[in-house]
Amino acid sequence: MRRAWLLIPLLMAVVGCAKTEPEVVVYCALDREFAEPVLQSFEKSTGVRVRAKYDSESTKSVGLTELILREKDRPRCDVFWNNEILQTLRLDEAGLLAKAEPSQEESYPPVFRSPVGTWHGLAARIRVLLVNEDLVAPDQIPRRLEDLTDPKWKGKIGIAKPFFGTTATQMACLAEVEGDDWLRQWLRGLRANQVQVLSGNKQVAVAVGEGTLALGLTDTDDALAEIRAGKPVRIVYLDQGPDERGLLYIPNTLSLIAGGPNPDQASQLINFLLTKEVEETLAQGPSAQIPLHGNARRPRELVWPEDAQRMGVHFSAAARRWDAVKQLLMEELPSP
Amino acid sequence: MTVGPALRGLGAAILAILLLPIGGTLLAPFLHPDGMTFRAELPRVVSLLRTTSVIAAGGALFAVPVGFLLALHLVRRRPWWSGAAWGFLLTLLLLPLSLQASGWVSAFGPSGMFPIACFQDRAGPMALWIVTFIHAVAALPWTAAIFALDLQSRSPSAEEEGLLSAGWGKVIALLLAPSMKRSILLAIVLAAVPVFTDMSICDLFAVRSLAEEAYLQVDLVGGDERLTFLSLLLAGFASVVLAAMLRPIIVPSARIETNSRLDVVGMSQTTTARLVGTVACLAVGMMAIPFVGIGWQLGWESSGSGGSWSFANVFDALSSTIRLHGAMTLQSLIWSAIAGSLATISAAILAWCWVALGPISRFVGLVLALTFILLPAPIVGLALVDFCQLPDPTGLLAMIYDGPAIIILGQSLRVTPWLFLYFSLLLGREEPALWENLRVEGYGPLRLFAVALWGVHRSAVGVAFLFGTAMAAGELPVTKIIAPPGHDTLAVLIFSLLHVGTTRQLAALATTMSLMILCLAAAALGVARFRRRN
Repeated sequence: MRRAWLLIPLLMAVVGCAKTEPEVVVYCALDREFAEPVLQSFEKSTGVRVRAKYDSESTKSVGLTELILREKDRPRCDVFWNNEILQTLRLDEAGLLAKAEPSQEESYPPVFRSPVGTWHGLAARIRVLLVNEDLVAPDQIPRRLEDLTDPKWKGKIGIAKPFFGTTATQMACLAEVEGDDWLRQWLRGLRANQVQVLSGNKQVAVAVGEGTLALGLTDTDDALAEIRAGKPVRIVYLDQGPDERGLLYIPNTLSLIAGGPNPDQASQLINFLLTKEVEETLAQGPSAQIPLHGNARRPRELVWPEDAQRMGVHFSAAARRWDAVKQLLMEELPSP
Repeated sequence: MTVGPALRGLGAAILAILLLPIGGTLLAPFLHPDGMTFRAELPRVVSLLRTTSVIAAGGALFAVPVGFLLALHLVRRRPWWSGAAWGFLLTLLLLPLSLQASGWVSAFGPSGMFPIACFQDRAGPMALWIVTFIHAVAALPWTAAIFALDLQSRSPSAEEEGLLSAGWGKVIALLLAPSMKRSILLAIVLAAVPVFTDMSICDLFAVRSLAEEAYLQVDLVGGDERLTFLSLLLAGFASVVLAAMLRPIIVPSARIETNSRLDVVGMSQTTTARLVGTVACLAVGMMAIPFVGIGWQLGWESSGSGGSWSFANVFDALSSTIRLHGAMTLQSLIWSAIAGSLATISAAILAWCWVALGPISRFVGLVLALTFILLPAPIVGLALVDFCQLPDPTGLLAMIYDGPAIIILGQSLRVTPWLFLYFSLLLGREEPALWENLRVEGYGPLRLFAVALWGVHRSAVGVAFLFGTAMAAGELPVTKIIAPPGHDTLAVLIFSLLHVGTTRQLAALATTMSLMILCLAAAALGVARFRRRN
């Protein structure tokens, strides 16, 4: 008993000290290297400690979404910073998100925020085709998604695992816009073309940059990284012809988790993240996100058509299709 | 041997603590049998099994014979570098597969030391063979350790006599191999187990295996009951087979020979002996390649059309890592040490209770421990998450879930079964007469236990603690799921950076972890050798 006091530091190490400073808990699917400096900036300017949980590249948003779903009876997370929208909408459907009213809400287009305020989009990425210019002649470059099923691209196309992240969002949106049959046929065409399924968008972009693949479906931030690295690649914006489906903009989304332990600090954080300054940090920095804030500057190196057609998709409807799309993906893209 | 009610109760309580958090998840498929149909998924399951079996078989085909020759050379020839080799092998045993994979990518990946085309061909046909190769090399320390233990437990005199009249080849083929069948089987299983349980390499190279599917399914659908049922089926079957193979090894007859070195004049000059030595050296060299890659990545700075390597870069990278992540590294090491301590105490108590059981109960105990080891980690991780969400008016579960306690619990769950096997092997080999004599002298059950662990096997407890701490520090798949926000471990950080690409930061973290595990492994080896001498 005399040495029982020795157990006190052990107990504190195990259970953790009681919190004495204000804090906010964030589940963040955006790459740690991009999100951490922004969150640290928030900490410095407000004195609110940020406890963040990140996830690895290939399973980011889904893993964190599953955690939030499981914690629904006793939420630990205050803010979910998702790097896409599909999983956020799953949580919205499940009634796990609370309404937030950030002061900068009106600076964002209505299509990129929830009509009831349960999620707010920022810092988007566009789904693009990255092309290795040494392997593909200019007149051979695909212009539409359907062109990727041309047998001349056999073994030369890469996509990221379609169950996670922006690739999953793209699949769900394509199913919503074009229908399940179209998606199934397109996936079969890709499979016949021996499409290479890599662990993430970054890996796809790197493979195209290195020349092991000629074409790859990826996001603008990963594509831009290859351009900055001096690789012989070019971004192609697909489906820009008249009556074609247009570009898919996938925003980061911020949501307040209903019943979270620190609602005030969570609102403070969302307000901070939806500012022009944060959008420009994410746009001008290595992440090269596309700002959705009306007054924020675009990334310097990213050039896309001023009159670029945007895919008219209802994200909520696409999210409702996800379970069926997931099943379709498992059937059409089997293991090697 | 009498265990006594106090220890029996403690053993039961420990078993309950280990089983309770994940029991609900494991029982769920049996409570809801309606969804247990696999007809629609059968082709996919068969395809995944096929891929996994190819990787496991390929890995075992390489790792078993090479591991045997390596062990033979180190134990029977005892070259001057054998001590360092064992320290290195023990370190490799404890390092997470993801770290070793990062080393291979640093060596041969697109931005690696010597870029090789097939290493860049992720998800192509070569990806499967690359994954098989990495698993095979990662299995070498395990197979070498099994064969070394076997060789050390038998006197070399039979081999010496054999070598006087025949060459190494005949001694291996006609004398050693037939008498080491159990070790060969165990080595095959140990080479195959990580393929079924660890997804990090398959995930990195986008190869769809059962472990990678378990990880995917659990993340996609959140612990599908069918996945749990399938995993229990496979893990249970494999555990029964493994337990049957382990039982003959845990007998109170074999002792570790103190002199296991061969002593035949001129023996080293034969062609076969030279071949064995060459293979051993090549095997060690092959296992070192990932670390050479990490070392290269650490010091390489690319610029313009080329780049340069310098110690200044190495120093910068390591000092930057210590500055940024030193506190986190120390913190996670403390957690791992706590998990290692808890696992050591729990495993020792459970093994002590186990030794007193009858043969059937012992077999069931072995199967339970092995099932724990073979169960896919994501299932364990999510089971812990679900357990902590149970209604709890005291708030204790919330406190555990939101602090380092959940990490310690998860790591203890993963490490305890391994240490249980270690203590079972140790205590199971003791002569029962030793404890009977002490009991007759008036030693009660608790005192007997204390004498056994702290008196007779004190250094083994030390080895178990160090081993357990290292294993806990390297634990990744469960920790990744359960780590609360703001609580990172080194293994999780390395894995998350690995998917971004191999960089100096990743190499510095990998080096830090390797050095940490190396120190623990060297300490364990030192304690083990001290124990053998005494």
